[in-house]
Amino acid sequence: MKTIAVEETVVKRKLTFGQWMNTDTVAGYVFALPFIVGFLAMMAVPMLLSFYYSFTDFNMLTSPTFIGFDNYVRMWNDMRFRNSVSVTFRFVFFSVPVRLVFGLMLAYVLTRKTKGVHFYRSIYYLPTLIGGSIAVALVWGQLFQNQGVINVMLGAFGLDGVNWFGNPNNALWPLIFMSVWQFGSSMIIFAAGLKDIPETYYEAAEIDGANKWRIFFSITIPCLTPIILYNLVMQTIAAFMTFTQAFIITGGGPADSTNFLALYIYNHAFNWFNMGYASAMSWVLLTMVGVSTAFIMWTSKKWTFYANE
Amino acid sequence: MANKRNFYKVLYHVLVVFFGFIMVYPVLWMISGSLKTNLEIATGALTLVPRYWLWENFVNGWQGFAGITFSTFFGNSLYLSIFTTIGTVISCSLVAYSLSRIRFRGRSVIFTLMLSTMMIPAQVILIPQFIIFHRLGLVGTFVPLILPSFFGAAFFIFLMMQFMVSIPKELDEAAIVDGCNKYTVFTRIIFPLLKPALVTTAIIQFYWAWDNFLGPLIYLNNPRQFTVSLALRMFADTASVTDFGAMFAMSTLSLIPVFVMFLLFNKQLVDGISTMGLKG
Amino acid sequence: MKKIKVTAFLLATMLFIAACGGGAADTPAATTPTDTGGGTTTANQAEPATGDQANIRVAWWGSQVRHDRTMEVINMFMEEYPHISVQAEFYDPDGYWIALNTLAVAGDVWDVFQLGSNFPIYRDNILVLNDLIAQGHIDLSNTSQDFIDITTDFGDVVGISNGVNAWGIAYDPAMFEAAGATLPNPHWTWWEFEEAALQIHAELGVWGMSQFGNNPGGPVLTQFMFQQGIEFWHPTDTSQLGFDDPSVMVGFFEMWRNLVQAGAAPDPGEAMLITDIEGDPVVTGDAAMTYVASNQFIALANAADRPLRMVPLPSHGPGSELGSDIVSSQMFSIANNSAHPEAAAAFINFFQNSIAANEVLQGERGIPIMDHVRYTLQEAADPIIAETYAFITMLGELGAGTGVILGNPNQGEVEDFANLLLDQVVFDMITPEQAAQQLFDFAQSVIN
Repeated sequence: MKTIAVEETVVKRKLTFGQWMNTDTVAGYVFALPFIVGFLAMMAVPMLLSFYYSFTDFNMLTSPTFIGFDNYVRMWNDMRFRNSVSVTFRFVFFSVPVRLVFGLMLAYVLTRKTKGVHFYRSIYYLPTLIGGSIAVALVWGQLFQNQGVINVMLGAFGLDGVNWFGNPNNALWPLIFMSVWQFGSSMIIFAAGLKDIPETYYEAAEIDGANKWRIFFSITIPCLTPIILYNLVMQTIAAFMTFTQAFIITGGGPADSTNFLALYIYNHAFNWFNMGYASAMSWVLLTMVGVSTAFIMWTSKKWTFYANE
Repeated sequence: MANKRNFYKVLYHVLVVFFGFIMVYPVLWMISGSLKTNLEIATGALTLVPRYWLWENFVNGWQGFAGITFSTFFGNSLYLSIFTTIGTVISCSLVAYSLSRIRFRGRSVIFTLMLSTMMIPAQVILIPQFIIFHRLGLVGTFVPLILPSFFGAAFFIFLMMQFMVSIPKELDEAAIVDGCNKYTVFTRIIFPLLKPALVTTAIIQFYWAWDNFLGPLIYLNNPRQFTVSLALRMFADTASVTDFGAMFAMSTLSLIPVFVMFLLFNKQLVDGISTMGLKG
Repeated sequence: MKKIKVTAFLLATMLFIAACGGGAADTPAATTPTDTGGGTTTANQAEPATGDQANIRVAWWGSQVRHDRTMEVINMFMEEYPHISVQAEFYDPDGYWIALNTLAVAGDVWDVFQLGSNFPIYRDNILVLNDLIAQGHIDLSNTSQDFIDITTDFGDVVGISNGVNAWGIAYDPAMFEAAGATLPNPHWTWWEFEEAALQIHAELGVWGMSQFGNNPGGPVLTQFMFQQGIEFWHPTDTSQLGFDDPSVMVGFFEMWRNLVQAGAAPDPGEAMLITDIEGDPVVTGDAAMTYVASNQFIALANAADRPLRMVPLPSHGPGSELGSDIVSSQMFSIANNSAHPEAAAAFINFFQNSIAANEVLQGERGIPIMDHVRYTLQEAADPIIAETYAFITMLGELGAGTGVILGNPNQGEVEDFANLLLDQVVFDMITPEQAAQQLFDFAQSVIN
């Protein structure tokens, strides 16, 4: 290795432009250039700016005025902000685990080697595929109306209809259901993970006389823990960002009961042009996501199992 | 014994189909709603068969707003989706090549930075990005929606890197012996062989761009530039008369490109998503 | 909310309309310009000045109906003024302000742009029209000074009003009678309004009142206060409120809580589904009253297809102001960065004075301020449109003020908070007194 390095330094002086371009360092940076430029222009600079704006009063029409920690103090006293943090956490707390449980269950059910599994998986993936579209959000709002399909169905089972959007205690649920409904991508990832569990593990367990449930909990689940961790982290991050559903379906109401932090930030930034305050809140959102992820990672040491280690 | 097994088999299929039906029911309801009257939709008719087959909903919906028909909105969505897809495929394959095939100083720093961008909520950079584009006078154009895709996205770079691992290094080396340099190795060897990953990327990116709502919502104001998503929202907006049938008709149409791609590229899509999860 | 009291003059104007409404015989003055078809009279003045090809951009926000009609007028304008080409940019009400802010920062505002009561924020981007008016590029000879004053800022004409409006209550007299409720009168009180709504609900099982728009915490609340002679916003100082006693708002919160809790008005979830004027429960017969602007009444009554009437908002009884006021809906202004201010003026002139154009527009932006236009439209009016003219005329006769509603840069945020408080009061999460106090504290903290 060393000799090669020496040779390289010797050769370096006589490099033509073409050869220079072909060196590892130059070519590496040339190919990585889109990301480097993008990272600086679309990530690093905006983040620094956003951090600066979070200490200013800025409405876009006049230049930002530095106001120290005022935005952060304001947040502390802002009931709507505190409420939106709590709404966001409630949403994450209910939607993410249920979504993962559904995803795992169906992935497990659909690994059976029977006819039509591929087709079934596509059917179950369909809601996820189109779930992000406005079309579905608009339809979802209609489903949960007072005289909507859901209440008509409840009536068919002899149950009272629920006033979904007219009661602050209920309004979050249609949004949680919608999120749970879209368990498809975690299902697919789980399914791929299930395929990777060596047959020998199962065979060994069957020889030991373990029943299906035992095998599921003592072989399948532990082997899947790294994937559970991955899904948990990615889905949690995504859930914190939830915006479109609330924006389209409830507009944050009634009585702010679905006013997600992302929606509240949007309103401050783009409806009321409080760019400074909105920036400060977005940093709090970033911190919330970061802390939650770190917390999951920290606990994961106790429950994830890596076969190779 | 065999009977019992058969019974379970049938039960399995019945249950899976039943729950599958519940899963897709809202979608089917929307499609059937595109042929129903406003009244039938508003009163929560469970049936998926419309009482009258109102094909006019499609005609009425297509007319759009103020003389701007849905052909404009579909055109805009298509334009945005195609360009962001091109940008993403090119930029991500370049960056993935550099990170997985070239050993250069700073590589691991760039790799770590790239992974970390996956964790950053879009909301944090949304506001300053908007202000920057605003300063540049680009709000109200497609530039803020297309430009970022030419800088690579961590998700797809990572996907392609995973795939490149499976392309034997010997191919590169043989090509270099044949007189290729690092650039021609990319264009002649890696890029063509990367095709399955490129297809997966293109599909996922296309439908993300197609569904994108927040970006167009912030950057596009003039109805002539609206994407299908924004146009659909206008149906439900206070400023115009809500024609649910027309709204459902256009919603249904808006999902067609996604459906078609799903049918054509089902396997690539599923493979792409599972690769991400497993190796991530 | 700043009201410029110009009742006497307006009254005269309105009475003039009312008098002429019946017969065309005694209106030669008003009809003269219409003979040659609006724009042509001024085209002669505008053309030599702007003989070169001019491109102007015209922007507005609004609904689909407005987009359709305005586009048609723009095409008519371009036919009549071949040397001016107009590029139309229209927006939904939210997107408009984002777009305008973008252009305002860049100093590249559309040549002709629509502004409402929040024009002071954009005062630096507005071209003062006094000179263009004096030079005859915009012909105001067919309107009265009152209507010009609505859009005048300390002597500077900042725009020309696209129409006047008044908010009020549209109601179904048949439902009132069926429920045995007392029919509304122009001087009715909030208490009578509440009684009627409750009684209609009790008797007929429908909602007495459907909604106060999608922003009840905004214009309705401020009007509720103004009727007591109190401004929400300080007329001149944006860092102050116009009042210091929150208790003046309590009655409004109480009234709405009582109606919703009794089932006489939609709960917030049901209200959310009322997305447009033609989807209002009054149309389907599920409510007896709703809150509309006079120009919206036309769409409402057409959709309902049964006799509806319009009255002013309820007020506070003897000694208080009349419930509703006549306001300018919005105006067209010219940007001071415009390269072709005369072409822009020609467009506004055409928009205001052309009979043909206004026959297309049909007063969608409000009742036109030009006498000859208003007269022609009123003559051709069907009974529903006539009802809106009668409503405005009645307000004029009863001495309602006309006014510019002056807002505050933080208005949107405060109104959104007021709407939240209304929800919370309805759900008994807070009392009306607490709501009033919280709104006051919030508004004060935001504007400081």
